[in-house]
Amino acid sequence: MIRTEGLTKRYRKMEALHDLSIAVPEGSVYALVGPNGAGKSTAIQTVMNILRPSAGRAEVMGVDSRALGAEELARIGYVAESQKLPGWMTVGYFLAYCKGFYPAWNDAEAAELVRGYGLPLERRMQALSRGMRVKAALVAALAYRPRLIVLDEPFSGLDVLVREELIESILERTPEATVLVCSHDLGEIESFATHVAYLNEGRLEFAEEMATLTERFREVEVTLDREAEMPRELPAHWMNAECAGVVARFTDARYDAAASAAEIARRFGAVRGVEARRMSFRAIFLAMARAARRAQ
Amino acid sequence: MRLLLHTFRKDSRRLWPAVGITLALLATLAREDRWRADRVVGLTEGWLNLLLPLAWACLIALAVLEEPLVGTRHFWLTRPYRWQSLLGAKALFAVAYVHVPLLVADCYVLAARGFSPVGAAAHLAGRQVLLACALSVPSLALAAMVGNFTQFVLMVLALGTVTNFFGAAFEMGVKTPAENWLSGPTIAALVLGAGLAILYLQYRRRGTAKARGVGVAAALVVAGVAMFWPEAVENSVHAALRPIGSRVALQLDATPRYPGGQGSALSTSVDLVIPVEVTGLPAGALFQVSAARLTVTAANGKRYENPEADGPGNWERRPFQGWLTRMTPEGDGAVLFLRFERKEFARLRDTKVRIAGQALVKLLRKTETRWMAVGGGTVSRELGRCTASLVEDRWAERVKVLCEAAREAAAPASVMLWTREGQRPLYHRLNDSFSAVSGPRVAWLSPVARGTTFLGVSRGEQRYPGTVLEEDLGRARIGVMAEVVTGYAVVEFDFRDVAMGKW
Repeated sequence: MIRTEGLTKRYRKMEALHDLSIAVPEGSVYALVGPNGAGKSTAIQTVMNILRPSAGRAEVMGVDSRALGAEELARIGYVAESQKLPGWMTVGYFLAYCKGFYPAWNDAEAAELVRGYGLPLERRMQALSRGMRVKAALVAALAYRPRLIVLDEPFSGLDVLVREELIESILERTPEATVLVCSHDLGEIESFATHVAYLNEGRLEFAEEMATLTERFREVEVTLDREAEMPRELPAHWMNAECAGVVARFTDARYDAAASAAEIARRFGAVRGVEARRMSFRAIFLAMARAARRAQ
Repeated sequence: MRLLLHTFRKDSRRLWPAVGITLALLATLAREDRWRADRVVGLTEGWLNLLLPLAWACLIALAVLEEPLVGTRHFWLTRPYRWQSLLGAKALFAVAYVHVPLLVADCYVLAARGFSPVGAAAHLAGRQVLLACALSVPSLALAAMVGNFTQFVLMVLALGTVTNFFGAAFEMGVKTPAENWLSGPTIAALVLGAGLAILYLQYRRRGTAKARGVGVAAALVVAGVAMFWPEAVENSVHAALRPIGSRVALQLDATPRYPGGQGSALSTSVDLVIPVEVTGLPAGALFQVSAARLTVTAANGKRYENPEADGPGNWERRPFQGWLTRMTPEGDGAVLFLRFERKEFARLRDTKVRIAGQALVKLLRKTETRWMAVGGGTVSRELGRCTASLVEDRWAERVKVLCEAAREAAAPASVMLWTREGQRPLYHRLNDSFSAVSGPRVAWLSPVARGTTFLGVSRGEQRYPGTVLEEDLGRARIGVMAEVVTGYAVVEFDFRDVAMGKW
């Protein structure tokens, strides 16, 4: 559905995005995550032809992103946190105005979404709360059943209940759509993303399916008979290694029960016990971020 | 087309208060224009002629900025707009709320002043093209390059200031529009071309950096043309297209005829008036002469050059100014008028200098005199409809001659008031009147060109010079004659060994 090859975006000397190559499979919910300034929004805006790439290319639904036109945009729903909506319009007029651009606009669908979200049609957009504005933007992005939904931090700042409600409605109403989302909310990402890509300082650290990611990461705790001392050389996939008393802890980014046990034995010698705990996506993200900071 | 109208309707719904304001301003202007029977506009009309274009520019910008092209956060960027529809919607907005209302107002004013709008169709179409070149396209293009309305207003103010600066410099030369018919269309074509290029770049590709580059380059070129367009080019084209057909030359007339102005000792300048004979013209021909280039070279090699040599416009202190002109509308002679700073002249007084340059000679033909009585009127093809009426201002009665035509500018013309055999007629020129009240006096939005002059009236026994006796008004005949240029000649002149002390 979306493929980028060596996608790069430079602002004068500053490189906001460097050589990004990802593939978003059709039907997936693909999450772009990373700390602030990682280049997530730049990547999305470049894919959506809001920004022109400095190098590389992106393809959306088989079309070069730079050639994205009305036909393609009529099948894409886009909602961004920073989007400037026409504040002077009432919600009703905003939806009626958007409807004019989409041949596939479904009035019943729109009415149902409006009802479900509790949107006041007569109220001006500028008088709405942020949550309500996001809901209005979502109605205008979902009422024509887009094939691709692109969400650029749309839920940040919203309360948990609203976020859950919106995510559920997106997944329920467009089960066949591909979703590309970038967000800070790792909990919410974990709840619905099928794929995840991690960006840091404009560079892609990894991109894979959420299931394999959570499968390969483990928080490992090694208990020794003696005062623990971290071996001098550690495998690159052991991150954030530290010792406390007789316990050594690290995050294994390539966990395999047999291979990891053998590696631990080789590095630490005799151990009293090894515990490998599954990690939430949030924990994985934090471990990655911490490791990146240490590497700096 | 459907999306174009969809966007247009949205813009109309959003901007109807602003549209209403511009329509109200235009209606007021049309009303003022409808009643004006003078070349000089009143203060209200003068201000409206300035404010309305600004209001139109802002209105067009507001429409464009409903979908701003600069920035990455606007909701429309990811909606399926077609660039042609979006640009078309903005152009339609300008046509619907600027061009069409002006056309309607023009027709109203023309009809109210007794002209047929159908008969003036070409003139009205020309005005629409002028409006597009001077206002609509530049406003659309400028708004397409800025991120918000504040930036647009600041840009307009900046451009207005710069234009005013160049305009002021331009006016120093006292050039008439007719003499700049080549640079005017060149500037219009440049503005139009750059505007369209910017609109394409922005709406097709949102290439703001390139569009701004085009905008800056066009502004510099336009400023260059306005400031430095060589007058010699204009003159050469004039002379090539409409040559006089005889060998025209300028010769120094050795006899001093006019008193120069050594002035009082307190005066900072000294004026020299040197008679010049224009030869090679048909006998008794009416002509005008002006200098495109004028250089005085002193015996020691020092050169005095006047870049704005065609009129007495620069009153600030300069070492030298000079121009070539007719002393009177009639007669064969012309004069070289040289003005030196007193200390410069002190160095030249007892020396001989060389005066060289290039002059433009215009051969004129006076059209057939059209006569009318005071209180009557006449029609001339060149001047339009002329009327003469007795009017009273706060000081005196005067005979007002008004010529109106459905065109951009009134033709130059002379006005003659004849009363009786043996009485010398009074001569005036159309448009020799002016207003002493400060304020904007432009009337570029008027579809009617008006020319006026006022002839003084003396009452009772005493007749003041340059006036007509009230008792003679009944038999007075007023003649109007347009002056039509029939040919041009560019003449190089080189007067050597001119003794400065002689003049």
